Amino acid sequence: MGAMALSPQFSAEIAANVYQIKDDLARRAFKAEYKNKFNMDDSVMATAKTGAFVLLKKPHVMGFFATGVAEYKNQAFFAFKGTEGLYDVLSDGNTGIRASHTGCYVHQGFYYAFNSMITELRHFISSLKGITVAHCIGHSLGGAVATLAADWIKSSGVTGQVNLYTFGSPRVGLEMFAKKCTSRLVADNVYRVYHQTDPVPMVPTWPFSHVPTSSVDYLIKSPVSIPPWKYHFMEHYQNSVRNSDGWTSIRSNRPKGYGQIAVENWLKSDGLVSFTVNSLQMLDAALLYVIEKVINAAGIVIINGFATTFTLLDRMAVFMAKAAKATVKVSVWVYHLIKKMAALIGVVVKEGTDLTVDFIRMVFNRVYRKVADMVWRVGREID
Amino acid sequence: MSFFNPTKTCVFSEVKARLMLNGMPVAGAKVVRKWNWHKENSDESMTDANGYVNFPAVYESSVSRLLPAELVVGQQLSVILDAEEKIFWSNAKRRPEQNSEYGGSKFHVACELTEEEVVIKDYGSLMLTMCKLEG
Repeated sequence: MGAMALSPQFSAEIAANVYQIKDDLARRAFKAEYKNKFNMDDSVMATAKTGAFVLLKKPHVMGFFATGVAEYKNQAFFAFKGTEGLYDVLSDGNTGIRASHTGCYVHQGFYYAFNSMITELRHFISSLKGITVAHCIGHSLGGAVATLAADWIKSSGVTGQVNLYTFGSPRVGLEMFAKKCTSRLVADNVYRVYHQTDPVPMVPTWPFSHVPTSSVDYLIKSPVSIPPWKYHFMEHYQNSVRNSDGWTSIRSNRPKGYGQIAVENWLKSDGLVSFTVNSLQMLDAALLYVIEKVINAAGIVIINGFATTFTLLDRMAVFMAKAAKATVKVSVWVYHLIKKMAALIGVVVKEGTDLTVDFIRMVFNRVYRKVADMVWRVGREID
Repeated sequence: MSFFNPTKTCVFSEVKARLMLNGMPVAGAKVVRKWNWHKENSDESMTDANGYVNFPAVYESSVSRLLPAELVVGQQLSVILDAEEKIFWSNAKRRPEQNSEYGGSKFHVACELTEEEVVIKDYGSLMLTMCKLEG
């Protein structure tokens, strides 16, 4: 465990209650509850003195920055809620990636959400003195923004200790971002809590990776549910940690995932492919497996040059089309992967089919959209 | 057979409140109910001779309910006393069902307006009020 960590209950409570800052009606109770924990004195807020409570209300991110008082003296809090607009961003198969404020590629939607508050964040950080620990907290898309905030705050040097607490967060950036962010924050200071059947942490699919990259998680078992995102809600996260006896009691090893043989067998099989949480995880593993094989055997890279923005799926399509024309050792696996992905959208790929960039791009886009549909847009709900 | 509309959401449950001031019923006073889901709305009612005021349940629909997004409906009740507005109940409704404000119990409360407001965290949100749930 990291130093000076908030309890699972308190961090989950903040992640849930930050939703109440969205309007004046609900914010009254929030202010009353936290006036003895955070510096929310109205006179301080009005004069913008050191440590003032900053209320963020941006198109794609809402949250607050605050310094602690009493038992939280010399601590700083950064809590975020996502907004509905960001779900569309996450569902877009033509998503771009951008170099983050610390220099590694992250999801473009999260980049813009974080970038929209950077001026306020810089101002707030510059006013801090004697802060021993910063706590960054968020649920769902707010967890993604909290991750970018934690990464940036640690790199700013304002405090030596930054703790990150996320609940049901999607993947924020590519592997290099995940590695650098994990190294910057130190894995023990990252509390990534997620339910087993929460679909949001499963997206965006590879090549996006979770922070931390270590094998330790705070994975909480949960049943399959209707709607499929039921266990994404903070109500359930709060229930899950309510009786926990500190972080140690919910700490778990990350599931090992699928082995090489299982992935190869799945790729080679001709069985019916249905869209389930399991097949999504298998697809994730298969994509990773084939891409690594291509990079290792054929030396083709996905991301090169210094483009600041581009469509990731387009790049993946070009990468796969090149690989399909590489050595047989590699191309056979690309063929199996595209065939399998095509099967997921009801398209049959026969042996000898020319795997062009356009065809692969179409398959990637339609699979991505189907994943998004599964995660976000199940239109039927049972009362 | 009924058709369930998954976007339909109870944004304010039916309310029955009794308002008292120094132990005396607040009669004939205007009570304002406000709520804010995707836009702010309000309605009004008057207390009767015994200080009772009633509001019907309010339902709204939004496609946001088809997304895995948290439900947050800002809610408030206030009364106009001597031309001044006094807020006596604030909350965020976090579940779509009627009566979720009080965890399934009917929204029947008694409020002594001279008492200090307290934060209630028993029902999955932060509620600020001096009102007490009536059994």
